[in-house]
Amino acid sequence: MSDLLHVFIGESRENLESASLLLEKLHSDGYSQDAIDNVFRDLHTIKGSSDLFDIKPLTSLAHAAEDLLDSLRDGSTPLNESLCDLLLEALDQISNWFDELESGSENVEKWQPISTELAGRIRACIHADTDDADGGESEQAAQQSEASSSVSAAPTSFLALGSQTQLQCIEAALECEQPLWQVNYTPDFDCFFRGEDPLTVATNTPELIAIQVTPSKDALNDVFQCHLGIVVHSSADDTAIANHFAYYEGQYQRESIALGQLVSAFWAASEEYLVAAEQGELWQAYLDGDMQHSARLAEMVGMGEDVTPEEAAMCRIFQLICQSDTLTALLESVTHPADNDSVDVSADTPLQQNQANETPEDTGVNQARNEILSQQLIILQSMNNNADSPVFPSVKRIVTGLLGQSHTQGASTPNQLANAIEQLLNATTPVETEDAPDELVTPVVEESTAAPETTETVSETAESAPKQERQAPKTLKVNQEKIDYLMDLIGELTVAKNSLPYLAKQAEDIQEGRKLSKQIKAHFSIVNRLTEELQSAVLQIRMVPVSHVFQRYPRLVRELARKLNKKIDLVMQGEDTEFDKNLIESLSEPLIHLLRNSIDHGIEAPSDRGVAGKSETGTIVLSAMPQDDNVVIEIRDDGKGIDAEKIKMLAYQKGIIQEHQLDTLTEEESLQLIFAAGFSTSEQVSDLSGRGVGMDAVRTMVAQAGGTIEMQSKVGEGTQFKLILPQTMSVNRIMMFEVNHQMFGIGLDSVVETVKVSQRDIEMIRNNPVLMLREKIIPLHCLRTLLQLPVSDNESDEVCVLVVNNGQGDFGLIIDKFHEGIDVIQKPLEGVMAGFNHFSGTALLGDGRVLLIINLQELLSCR
Amino acid sequence: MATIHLIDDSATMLMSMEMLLKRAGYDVIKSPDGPSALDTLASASPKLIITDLNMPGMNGIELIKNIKQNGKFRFTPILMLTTESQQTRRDEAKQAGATGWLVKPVEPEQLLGIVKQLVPAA
Amino acid sequence: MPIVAKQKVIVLDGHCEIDAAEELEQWLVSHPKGQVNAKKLVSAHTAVLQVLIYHRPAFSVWPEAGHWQWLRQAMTNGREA
Repeated sequence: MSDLLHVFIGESRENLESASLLLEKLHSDGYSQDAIDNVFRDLHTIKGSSDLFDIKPLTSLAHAAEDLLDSLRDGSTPLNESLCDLLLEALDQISNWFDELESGSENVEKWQPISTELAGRIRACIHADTDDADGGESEQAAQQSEASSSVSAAPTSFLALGSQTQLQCIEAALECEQPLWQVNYTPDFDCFFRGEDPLTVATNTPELIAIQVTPSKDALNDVFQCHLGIVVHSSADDTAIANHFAYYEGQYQRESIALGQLVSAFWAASEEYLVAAEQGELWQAYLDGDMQHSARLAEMVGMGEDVTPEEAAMCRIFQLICQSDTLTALLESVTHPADNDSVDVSADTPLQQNQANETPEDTGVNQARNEILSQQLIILQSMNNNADSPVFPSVKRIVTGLLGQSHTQGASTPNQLANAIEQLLNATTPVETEDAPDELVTPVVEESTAAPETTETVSETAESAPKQERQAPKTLKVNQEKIDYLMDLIGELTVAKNSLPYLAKQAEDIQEGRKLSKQIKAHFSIVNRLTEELQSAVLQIRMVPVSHVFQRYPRLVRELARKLNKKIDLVMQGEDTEFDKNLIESLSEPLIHLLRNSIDHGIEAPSDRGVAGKSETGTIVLSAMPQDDNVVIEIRDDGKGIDAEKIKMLAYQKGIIQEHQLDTLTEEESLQLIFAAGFSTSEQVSDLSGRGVGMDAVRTMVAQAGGTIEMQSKVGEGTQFKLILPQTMSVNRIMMFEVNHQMFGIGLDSVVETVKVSQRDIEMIRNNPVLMLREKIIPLHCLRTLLQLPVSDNESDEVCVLVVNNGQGDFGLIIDKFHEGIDVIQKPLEGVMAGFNHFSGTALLGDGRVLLIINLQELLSCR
Repeated sequence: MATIHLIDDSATMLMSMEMLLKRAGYDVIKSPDGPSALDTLASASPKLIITDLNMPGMNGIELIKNIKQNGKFRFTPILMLTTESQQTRRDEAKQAGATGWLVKPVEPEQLLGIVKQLVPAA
Repeated sequence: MPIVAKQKVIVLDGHCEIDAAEELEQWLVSHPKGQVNAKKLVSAHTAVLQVLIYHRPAFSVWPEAGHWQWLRQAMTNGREA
C-alpha cells in the first residue's frame, strides 16, 4: 500500500470519526447548523481524496452522503433520526472499506453494488428543489455531476441497440412525453439458488417497451448458473420500476434517458432520411417553422408504399415532435446547437425540472468546474513535473473529463497538463475561485504533499491546516506502535534494573567489594526512581478518556431498545475519566454484555413499566470515576431487578447448590450465584443474539483485566453493577515465594507477615488446619494442595506460612520457601492460561524465568 | 395446482393468507412454526414458501437456512414476512437464500402480484 | 409434460420449470441437428431460456404467443464477430 494511500486512510478515518460523533449528537440533540456543516466538510474531504485514488464506489457513496448533507444544511430536507442512522450506515460502510484497503484484501468490484444500493437510498431522501437528471445510480454521476457535463447524447448502451428497438422506445416515450427508463440487469450467477427467475421479472416490467438479452459468456458450463445480461426499457416511472426490481437491488442499475437525449438519438438515426424526404420539402417546412405542414408531410411520407417499418417509425416520431412545442424546442437545440446555451442545459434534464433555475445553475456549474480545476492545478504543481507520481493518472482523468480530450491529449507531464488548465482558467472570467477553494484545497493539498516527506504518520503540518478550522488543542499525532515499543523498553528496563541488587550482593563477597556494593546500591536506587517515573510518564501518554469507548453505546442501546420495542434512556457520566488505551478494550466487552443484559432482562417493556408505576422510559446510568489507582465503573438500571429466589431455584436445578442451601443461603449470597460457573445457559438466551451471556464470563473478563465486579439488585427497583479496574498496567510490588521448586508471586499489599512455625503449632478445628498466632486464629491453606502440586517430600518440622489478607480477614498459606519482594510489570494471562482464574498474571524475572502471580481471592474460593 | 407453503405463528395470518391464495386458485399448506414446517417439507413439494420472520424458537431466517440445506428446494422461491423497520433482516434473508420479502401488513393485490410472478403456472 | 423429447424434435409446452433445463441441454447436445417445437410455449424459467440462448438450436415452430420477440433477437445477439 502506497504511503499516500496510507496517509489518506489515516486522515480519512479521523474525518469519519469526527463525522460519526457529530451525527450521534445530531441524532440525540437535533439540528445544529455547525454540526451539519462540519459533517458536510468531513464527507466532502473524504470524497475529494478518494477521487484521487479512483475508488469509484467509495467516491459515489461519499458523494451521495455529501449531497444529502448539502440539502440538510440549506434546509431543503428536514433532519430526522432515520437520516442520521442512514448516514451513519454509510460511514460504517466506508470504514469497512478502509479496513479492506489497509489489509490489502479489497475487492473494489464487489463494492460497486453496495455503493449503488446505499447511495440510492441516501439520494432518495433528498428533497431537491432541483433534481439531478439521473434518478438512477450511474457510475459517472460522481464525477460528472460536479461539472454537469454538456453531453446530451443518450447512453452508449442505448445507442448500441438496434435502430428498430431504439425507435420503438423513442416513440413510446415521446408519445407520453415521459423519460425512458433503461434498466441494466445483470443477475448474479447464483441467483437461481435464491429462487430468482430474472427473465420472468424482466418480461413483467411495468410499461415494458423492449427487452434485450445477451449471453455474457462464450459457453454455458452449468445450466444452473445465470450468465446473461438483460437490458429493459420501460416508460413507467421511477417508483414503479424501483418497486418491481426491489428484490434485485445490487444486481441492476437504472438510468433515465431524458427526452432531450431521446430526441438527439432519434435525430442521429433519422436525419439523413428526413432531410431528403419529399425532395427536401419536409425539411424546408420545418426550417420555415411551419410545423403543421411539416407534420402533414411526414404523415404522408410514412404511409407510402415502399417505406420500411423503420422509416415509417421515423415519420411517425417526426410528427409527434412537430405536434408538441416541448419536443420541437428539443429538436431545435439538437439541430441548431449554437443558438441557445440555456436550451442546451435544459435539454439534458427532464422536463419536470423548474426551468426558471437555468441561469444560476449554469454559473454554479462553471464555478464548480473551475474550483475543481484549481484544485487539480495545485496538485499538479506539487508533483515537480514527475509524470510517475502515483496521483498523476487520476488527476489527468479528472481534468480530461472536465476539459475534454482535445485539451488534454498532448499533456503527458504534469507541467503540460497544468498549462492546459491555466490557459482555460485564464480564458474564463475567474469566477469566485478565491473563497471556496481555501477550504477545499487546503486539506487535499496537505494530504498529498505530506506523503512524500514522511514515511510515518508523524506529521505536524498535515494536521495543522484542517485542524485550524476546528480549533483543536495543540496535539502531536503519534503512531501507536511507537508508544507500545516505548512501553516494552521500559518493561525491559524494569527487569534489568532488578538485577542490580543481586550484583550488589555478589560484590560484597569479593575482596574489597564492600565499597563497590554500596555504590551499586546507591545507583540502583536512582535508576529505580527514574524508571518508575519514566513508566508513569509513558503510561500517561497512553491514557485516553473512557468516552473513547462509551461513545459507541448510545447507538447500541438505541438500536437494541428499538429491536425489543422498549424505551430506554442511556445517561453517561464521567466520560472524561482516563484509562489506559491498551486496557480500554478489555473493559468494553464486559460493559457491552452488561448493557445488553440490562436492556434485555432488566428494563421492562413500556407497558409493564406503566403497570408497575414507573415511567415508560427506563433509564440506564453508566458512570466512570477514578478512585486511587483504579477506575470505578457503574451500570445502574431502574428495571425489574434480579429475583434472588428465582436465582436460587435455577442454581439448585443446575446442581450448583445443594438442596439444604435453598434454605441456608441469604438473599445476598443467592444473588451472587449468578456469577457461578455453569449458571449461564438457556435461561439467559437473549432475543438479541440468541446466545447466552453469562455473568461468569463477564467476571472472567473483568478479572483478566485485573479488576473485580460487584452486583446489587432489588426486585422491582433495579440492578447495579460495579466494576473496579486498575487504571493502568502499573508496576506492582510482588513478594516471591517457592512451592515445589516453582516460583510464585503475590501482591505485596496482600501480605501481612511471614512466619516459620513448627508442625506442632498447627491445630485442627473441625478438620480444617489453623494456626494460633498471637492469640489469633488463622485458617491455613496448603498451597501445594490448592495448586494441585505433588505432595511434598520434605520431612522437616519447619513450616513456612505466608500470612495474607484478602480484605475479609487473615489467612495463612503454607509454602516451601520465602523469597524477596520485587517490582514487576504484571502482564495478564493469555491464550491457554487465560482460563485459570487463580492466577492474575505473569511477570518476567531478571534471570528470564516466568513468575506466576497468585490471585488471592480466586485461590481462596477454590476449595 | 401449484402449492404454496405458509409458515407463521399467528393462526390469523395463516388463515387470511390461505383464503386469499385459495380463491386465486392455489393450493395451500400451513405450518405454525419452523420445526413442523421442516417436517412437512420432508414430503411436500410446494412451489413457493412464505414464512414469517419473528417466530419463537426458530425464526424465519434460520428456517430459510434450514430449508436451503435440502437440495429439493434449492430453486424454490422463498418470501419472508417482515415489518417495516427490519430492513437489515431483509438483507440477511437474501443472504440466507430468500428470494424476497413482504412487508406487513400485506396488501392482497401486492401478495397476489408477487406470487403470480414467482409461481408462473397456477 | 412441459418438455417432451422425441426423435428429431423436442417439444416445449405450456410452462417449463427450471428442472427442464438440464434435460433440454442434454438433448440439444446429443442431437446437434435437433429442432425445437415451441408452438404452445407460454412461459419458461430463465434457466431453460438461457439454454436456448446459448445453444441457438433451430426452431421447427416458433411460439404462437406474441411476446417472444425478444427471444428471437437474443438468439442472434452476442455472436457477432
